[in-house]
Amino acid sequence: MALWSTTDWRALRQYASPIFIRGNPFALTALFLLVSSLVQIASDGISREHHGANTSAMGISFAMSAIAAHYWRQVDNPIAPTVPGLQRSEYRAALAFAALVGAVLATLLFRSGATSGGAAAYVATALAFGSFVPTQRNGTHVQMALRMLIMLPIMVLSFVPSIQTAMLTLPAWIGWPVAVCAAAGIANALTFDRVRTTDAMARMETMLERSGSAPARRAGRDRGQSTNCLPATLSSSAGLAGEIAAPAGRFLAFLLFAIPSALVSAHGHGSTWHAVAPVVRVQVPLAAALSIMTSGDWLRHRDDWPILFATGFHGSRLNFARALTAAFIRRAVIMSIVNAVIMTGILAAMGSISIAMASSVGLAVASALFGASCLPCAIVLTGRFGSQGLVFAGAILGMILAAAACEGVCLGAEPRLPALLGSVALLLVGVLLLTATPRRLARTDWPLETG
Amino acid sequence: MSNTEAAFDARSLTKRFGTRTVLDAVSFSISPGEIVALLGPNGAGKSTLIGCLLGFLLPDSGSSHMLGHDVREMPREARARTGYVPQTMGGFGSYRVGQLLRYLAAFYPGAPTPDSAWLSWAALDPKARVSTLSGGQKQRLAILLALQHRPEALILDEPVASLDPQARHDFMHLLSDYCTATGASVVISSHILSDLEKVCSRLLFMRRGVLVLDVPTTTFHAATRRLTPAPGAPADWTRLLPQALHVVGRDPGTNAALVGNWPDHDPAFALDNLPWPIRIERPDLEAAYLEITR
Repeated sequence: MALWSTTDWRALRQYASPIFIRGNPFALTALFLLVSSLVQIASDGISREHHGANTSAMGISFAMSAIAAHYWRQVDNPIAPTVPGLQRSEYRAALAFAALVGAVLATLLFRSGATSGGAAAYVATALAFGSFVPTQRNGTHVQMALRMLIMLPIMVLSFVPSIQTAMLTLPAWIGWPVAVCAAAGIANALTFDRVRTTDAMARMETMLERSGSAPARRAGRDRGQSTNCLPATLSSSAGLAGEIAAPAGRFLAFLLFAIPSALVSAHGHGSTWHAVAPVVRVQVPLAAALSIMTSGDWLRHRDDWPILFATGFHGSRLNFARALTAAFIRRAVIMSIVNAVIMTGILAAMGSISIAMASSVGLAVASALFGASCLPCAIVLTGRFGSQGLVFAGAILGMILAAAACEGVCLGAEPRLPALLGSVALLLVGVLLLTATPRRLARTDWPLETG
Repeated sequence: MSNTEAAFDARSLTKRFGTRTVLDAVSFSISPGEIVALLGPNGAGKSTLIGCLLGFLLPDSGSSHMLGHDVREMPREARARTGYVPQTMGGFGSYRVGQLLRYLAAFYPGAPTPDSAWLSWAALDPKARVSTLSGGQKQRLAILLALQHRPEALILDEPVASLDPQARHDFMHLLSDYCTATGASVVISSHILSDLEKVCSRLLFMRRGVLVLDVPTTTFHAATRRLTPAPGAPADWTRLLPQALHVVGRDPGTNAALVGNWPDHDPAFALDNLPWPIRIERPDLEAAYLEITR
């Protein structure tokens, strides 16, 4: 068998075509994060101690997630296992493209001052984490949640400058073994044997069990749980308690990962609370902004819309769009308040903000979070609602803006008026977007996900 | 494929999901050139059987061979001689139709160009994005993809469910012509019995994971009868039937029985020894299906 066959080349060529980008929610985000962060590194160098956060690790992870997402949609469908050699070619192409991307990025970092081992370890680790995010379609909610948690260490790597610098300057004898282990992790994450056995089994079981389409069953289940006839992404079987618990859980889960990392990072500067506190403090606004990442899900996962609309529960298209928007507003308000309360509470307890300031800071943070969570609605207004990737990119942009606003309001230098004005501006943008969204949504085609 | 080599060979296939037995010791063999209908209600085990035939699912016991190879270890060259049309065409949404046809064709080196009759039947715009196709168009695309390399063994899992009547009619004709021309073997699962009756040379009836009847279509038509006793006959009246007749289905509502092995060639054969008059009818496939799979 040839070392590299023509079908391997064909599979690899897909990555240089629009096929790779279309409907791939990670691709545009990765490009945006990588370009912005690498430009920053090229001008400032790799030492981030005095330059603040850099999102290169997130960008690298998202790049790998984009590769993995493309790979899985190629091999995880009913036809792929019957096409001889397709899965093998896709597997080899995904690994080859990941290696190419990794080599280019590691070289750029090396030329910007990283050690060779550090650059290799940094890039390979970020790639490895990103490779586990998208997997086959069938997965439990717990698996989905775990996938989200996988990204948390990468956020720490992106937003804690000292950890980033420490990793980029690792000596070769540590860096290269780390890189090799991470590369093995990538190869394992993309192993496709599972498709032929366990995943196919799950799919067949689903086929046997179903009495109607999956959206129909999901819609039926949701209708059973609540009487508001809303899509799965906007209804909660646990009611208000569930809606409060979800963002609070995300916030605390992030801190659970971030604080140990911060402690490790601060170890070199001493182990006292005074040394550790500044590093921990940086994590809190990031944890608050994390919830924004899922703020576009209600616009992306719409396979149950036709069935819910067809029930006639909401009447006209406009009323249906208004009901969806209202449900989203309710959810976004709860998320914003929960995150603002936890965040200001922690910062007040740490002495970063005074008790007197806590209410105004909390209000500003809630405003920023709410406004940022509305940014995916901008895609509806542009008429590109069909592009799930753009909606996701809007959510990521919102997350980055929210993180910057929260950090500015809570930890920025005096005077904080610009940061406060920024939060108010985000709120105003959000309100404007939400005002226009129902009418625009009612006048837009709702893409039918037909399998 | 040699003339004696079975295209599909299932030997005592048993498959369980948890405690539920979905396939129970299913055995059959399909020769080259046969078009076989897989019939049964929802949940009868048809899709699981197809999964085992293709090697997607691993049976708990028994084995499945395709073109002489164990499907678990099928070499690439043998796999390239097979085709599969799934119930729903998923994935590849970011491709254009022409791009996808060319991309997947590359995995079948030496395969002929797609048959123009099939391309014309599918009537798909090569520049159309797969994600924008309707359900029926996606199904046509799935059929094109499965047939473009001219497979010798073809499995179709409810391929016509989302096709319009004209497309369905033309598809059945093309499929029949294809098998006649190439000698390909086909397993086709569908609920549209009138279509299957026209093209299939053999019928496999499944009920709750069990293969309850495996019969050539001509034999089915010639040797299957629906026997309805006059009112007053007990429920177990069929025990009085001659040994040669094989009861393959019952209709508790009318107390009727569907029997096989009817000696169509013997005009003198009669059921004179029964104490009740019996109405004897030649059933159509749909009526027989209902009683066999009930």
